[in-house]
Amino acid sequence: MKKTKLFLVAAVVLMSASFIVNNVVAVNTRISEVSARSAIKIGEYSLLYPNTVLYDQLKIKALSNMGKEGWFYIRDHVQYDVDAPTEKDVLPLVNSRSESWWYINSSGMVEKSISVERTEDGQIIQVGMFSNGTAWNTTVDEIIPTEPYIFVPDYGLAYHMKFPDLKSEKIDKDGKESIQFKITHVEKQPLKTLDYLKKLLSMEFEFVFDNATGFIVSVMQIANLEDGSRRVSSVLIEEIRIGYEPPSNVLEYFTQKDNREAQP
Amino acid sequence: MISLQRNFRLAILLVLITSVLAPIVVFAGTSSTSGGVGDANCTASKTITQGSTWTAYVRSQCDLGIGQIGYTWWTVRQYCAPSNTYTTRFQSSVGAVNTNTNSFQRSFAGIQYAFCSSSIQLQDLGQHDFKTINNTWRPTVNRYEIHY
Repeated sequence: MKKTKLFLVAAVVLMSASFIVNNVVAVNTRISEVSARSAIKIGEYSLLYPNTVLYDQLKIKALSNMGKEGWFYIRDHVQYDVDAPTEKDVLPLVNSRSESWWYINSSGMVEKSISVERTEDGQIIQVGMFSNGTAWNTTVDEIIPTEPYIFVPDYGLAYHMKFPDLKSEKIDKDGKESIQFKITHVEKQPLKTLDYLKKLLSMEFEFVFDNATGFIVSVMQIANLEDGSRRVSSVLIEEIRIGYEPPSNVLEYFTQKDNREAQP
Repeated sequence: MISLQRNFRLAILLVLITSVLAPIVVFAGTSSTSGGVGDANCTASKTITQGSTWTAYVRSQCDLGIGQIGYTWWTVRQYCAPSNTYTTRFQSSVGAVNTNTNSFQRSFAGIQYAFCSSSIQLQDLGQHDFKTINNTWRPTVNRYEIHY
């Protein structure tokens, strides 16, 4: 009887600890990381937070590789495997190719940028740009005050870092040593979604980084549906260049932005 | 030293337990404003929840039934700040209302996160509609959340 009570108390304590740790880590990741770093020796830290250590190492490599003053360029290809919308006024996800340039100043901050998103057959979907403290988009005509910022092209991995079941490993990707992060979020019950006719059971996320440069290589989102199908949406990085300036027809969009902002 | 080792072991144990018992964490946030129309006290709110996908809600609620309750326009979209590009998922072409009642709610669940070179901002935007024969209250309530 005493043993049962002890077991129950222990179970409640462990579950409470788990709940607290989960929520504290989830809600306040930055504070947890900072205090943990100062409190725990490096070796112990890497045991406790191997994903964070790997992620930080990749970030440092990427920032150091793109940190020189000048233009940083990424061309990516986004492909969605989703069902066509069934509800009125719901807009479909569209496969696209984007070219983006970020001008990084001597302090390592992005002070202007421009992105051109096109359909797979080359039609422009939208152009977004940032310069002189504001951002503007050709299709959504809103002018947004924007400060210079440090750019880490992690394609959203930061969100998943707070989850304890994120896994990371070194893999060989096309002959290059790479770091892969994987996580599966399982729904509590099958979820009706905007993008699939069948209900969603779980969503897998997979991020691959080049271990030499720290740059992202690909991201996959795999929806596991109730009919057993796996629907893969992805972004593949087709090209990364350092010091590649936008061509004149792209730079002209900055003039268009200046003209728009000059309007009352 | 022994105490440090014990603490370290305890921390390892906690991490292991956490990874086994980890629940699916859903983050939620609401923006709302209160006001009224005629004798009714009303609240207009937008809510975003985040999990493996995200959900956008629009809610219009009063303590009394009124002639018309809902929204005049509603937009659900994602903003990728590093590229200053938008992925719009829902843009109402007309408003939507319930009549002679005290509440209206609509949501889009399971919205896939758009691919973005860094964190994205989720946006749940729009103007609510509260109307009686003689009075109208149309507050704009927007909810923005960073997916980070």
